[in-house]
Amino acid sequence: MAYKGWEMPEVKVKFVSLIRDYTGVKETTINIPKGAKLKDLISILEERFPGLKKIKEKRINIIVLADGQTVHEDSQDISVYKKIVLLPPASGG
Amino acid sequence: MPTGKIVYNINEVFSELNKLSSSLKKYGYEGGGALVIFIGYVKGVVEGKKVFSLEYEAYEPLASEKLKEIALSEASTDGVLDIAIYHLVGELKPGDPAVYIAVYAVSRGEAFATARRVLERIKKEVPIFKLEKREDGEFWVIGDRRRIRRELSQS
Repeated sequence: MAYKGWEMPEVKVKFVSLIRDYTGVKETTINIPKGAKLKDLISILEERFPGLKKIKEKRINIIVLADGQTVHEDSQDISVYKKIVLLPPASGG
Repeated sequence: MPTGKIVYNINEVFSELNKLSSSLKKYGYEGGGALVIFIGYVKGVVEGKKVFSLEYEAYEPLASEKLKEIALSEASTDGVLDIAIYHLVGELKPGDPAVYIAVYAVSRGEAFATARRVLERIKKEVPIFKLEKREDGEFWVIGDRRRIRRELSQS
């Protein structure tokens, strides 16, 4: 399906720690279809960075921040946000 | 005043710890009778393997905000007078302190319980990550115990 520019909002995605290892870059900018859900974003990112598939393979429960807020629902429309951050589970202390 | 922050230099923590004796007096007059200090430090052996270093990374400013939030919310516990949390980041060696938690309370029960709760919350809620460099390779520590061998992406 072809999308027009305005239907594909631009979003900046940051990768932290282990996830940065899997992509090989700290951040990227991508266009995602309007109304895209988290799984759509992940599919687009996996196409660009195949290393990201290891997150599922290794069953790592990543944390997703959208404009600073944690994304809890898979059904949430994330195309409305400007900045997404993918983080692994915390391991401080 | 409850404090929670990421620090990049251990001297910053030492200067805070030097203030402890005067703080005891201050909190003593406010009814305090217990100070519990927890110091978490880097292990030199994990899973039977020698550890060279532990590289801590914080996602800022969120990590400092979360530390502050934990300090503020736990300091409102009944019987707790004040809390200070300092978490170091960067490359630390075995025996280096990584996290300091100080809890001033009316008595030992609240002090010990709160210090423990603060530590558990730091481990789960604060975006701090660590890479363990040891004799058999490099491992990302996931959550409290899980380790994933480091493999750099080909993409």
